[in-house]
Amino acid sequence: MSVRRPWVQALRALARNRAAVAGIVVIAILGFLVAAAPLLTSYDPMQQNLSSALRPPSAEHPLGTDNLGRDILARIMFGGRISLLIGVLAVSIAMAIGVPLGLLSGYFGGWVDMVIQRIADMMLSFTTFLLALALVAVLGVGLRNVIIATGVGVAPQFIRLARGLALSLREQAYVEAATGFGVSDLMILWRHVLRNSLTPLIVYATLNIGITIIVAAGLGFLGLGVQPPTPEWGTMLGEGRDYIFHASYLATFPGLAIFLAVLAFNLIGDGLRDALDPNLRA
Amino acid sequence: MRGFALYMGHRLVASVITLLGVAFIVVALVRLLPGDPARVIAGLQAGQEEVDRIRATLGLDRPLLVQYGLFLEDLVHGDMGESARTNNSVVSEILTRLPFTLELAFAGTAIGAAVGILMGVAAATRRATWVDHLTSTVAVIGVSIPVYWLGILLIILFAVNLQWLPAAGAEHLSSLILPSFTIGMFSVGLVSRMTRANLLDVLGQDYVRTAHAKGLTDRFVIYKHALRNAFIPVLTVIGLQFGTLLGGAVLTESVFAWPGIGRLLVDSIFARDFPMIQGIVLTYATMFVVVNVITDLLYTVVDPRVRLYG
Repeated sequence: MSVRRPWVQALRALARNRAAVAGIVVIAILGFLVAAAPLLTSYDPMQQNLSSALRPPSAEHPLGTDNLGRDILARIMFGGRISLLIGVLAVSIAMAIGVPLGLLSGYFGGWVDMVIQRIADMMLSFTTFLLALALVAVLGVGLRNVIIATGVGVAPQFIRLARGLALSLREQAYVEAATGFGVSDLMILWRHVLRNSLTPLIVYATLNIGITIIVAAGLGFLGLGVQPPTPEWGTMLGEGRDYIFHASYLATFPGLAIFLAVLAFNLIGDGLRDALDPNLRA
Repeated sequence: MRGFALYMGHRLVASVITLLGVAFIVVALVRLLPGDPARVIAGLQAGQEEVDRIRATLGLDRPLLVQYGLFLEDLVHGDMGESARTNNSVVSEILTRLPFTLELAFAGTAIGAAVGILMGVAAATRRATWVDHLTSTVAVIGVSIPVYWLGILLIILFAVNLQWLPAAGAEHLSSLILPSFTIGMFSVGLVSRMTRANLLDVLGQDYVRTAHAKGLTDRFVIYKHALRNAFIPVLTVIGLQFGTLLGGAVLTESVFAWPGIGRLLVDSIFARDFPMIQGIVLTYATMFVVVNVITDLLYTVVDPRVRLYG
């Protein structure tokens, strides 16, 4: 007797999706390179060595060295810790802000909905990147502020999504039944609405990790993100752009790392969406 | 028609409220500056007199709501203060730079829409062939590639190696090609996905089958009947996309040294020129809101059946 477990079925569907599997493989490889960085390279990502500056890729330095003679591969591996951490933490912040607001908005409706939706409208009209940029302009640069700014920038997307979910879930019979039994609204939100929203929220979170990595690295690229000498993919790309005329590998490799990570998260997100909830297809 | 007027009325009121809110945030943000905002804006070298002057002109010595009121009053008179860096009027500097940003945004939108729709049609009409796979690959690359990296790659290829196109600046019409392609690439991904999905949907409808039965050619059916109906959701995507595009324009302008308001914004952030930052952010938000209202309007024009209003 096998019980139809939706998660098992979804994972099977995901395993059949070649693009999603490719995404998982890329993230696994990136995750390994990043986690095992100290074991895989003997170079210190911060250690300057001006005598070996701007060396093109070679056996000694597979991706070359930067303008300060630092090994680019080592910097990309260590930088990945920061870039991926920002992506995951910023999405967590966005969810922590957006999901409760969105659920309250959709579940209660009325003036609560109106106020929260106007706030979401305002945030959306800044657009994600500009909102993050404006916040960094005020809060200042650096790792912590980049995570906060990027998370807040993406938050309105989660307000919208969670609101839509709550709107449809509150019409469900089991929610009405719970209301009839006198279960409190907050309990219903927690036990029924939030739990049944998890699937689309996970899909959306995966798709948004890519966006937050792009936004955070974009701040770094402008020089308004994680500050040198700390390696971070966007900051490295921004520093490398000055050398595109004679040492283009300074810019191409960090950018490739950003692109691969974002692409992989998008492929996994698309795959999860198709596997878990085909109705979500945009 | 009354329903439409009523709907647009609601829409406009909501938009004005949103923009008033954005203006409030923009004014309040300055107060989040660590320490004394007036001191931060004036810079460390400035004398106390200068700091006091800035505090007074920005209304930082008054309650937040009064400061907001003063900001709105000036705004009504077309005044957003003076740049802390150049002492020029914020409005006139923005107006000088804005045409460049709009040029880039429209060129990017046009490329994104044209290439995206063509790719979407190709994919939908050759479903499950290599054309379909290729376009979906290009689409996912388009939404995943950071504009700043794509821009740099294009510069390395077309400006440094091939030397076909200028790497930076806005002196010639050819300067527009690389930045607008860079910025349009993201839309290509979204628009082609949307076109493909909608076209496949429409191609299964009765009237398309009828048109085929009448002996009309595939090309005629797709372009005269199907695309027109598949176009409406695509139009919304293009409109909504415009906002993301404006955000991306900040980065693209920085990559290509394009003299629009995006680059001005980044320069102003480095210079801690807050009156200018406020003005530019408000300009961006206004463009975003206006484009969304226009998209809604077009929506009803393209398809008279669409009744967004009750």
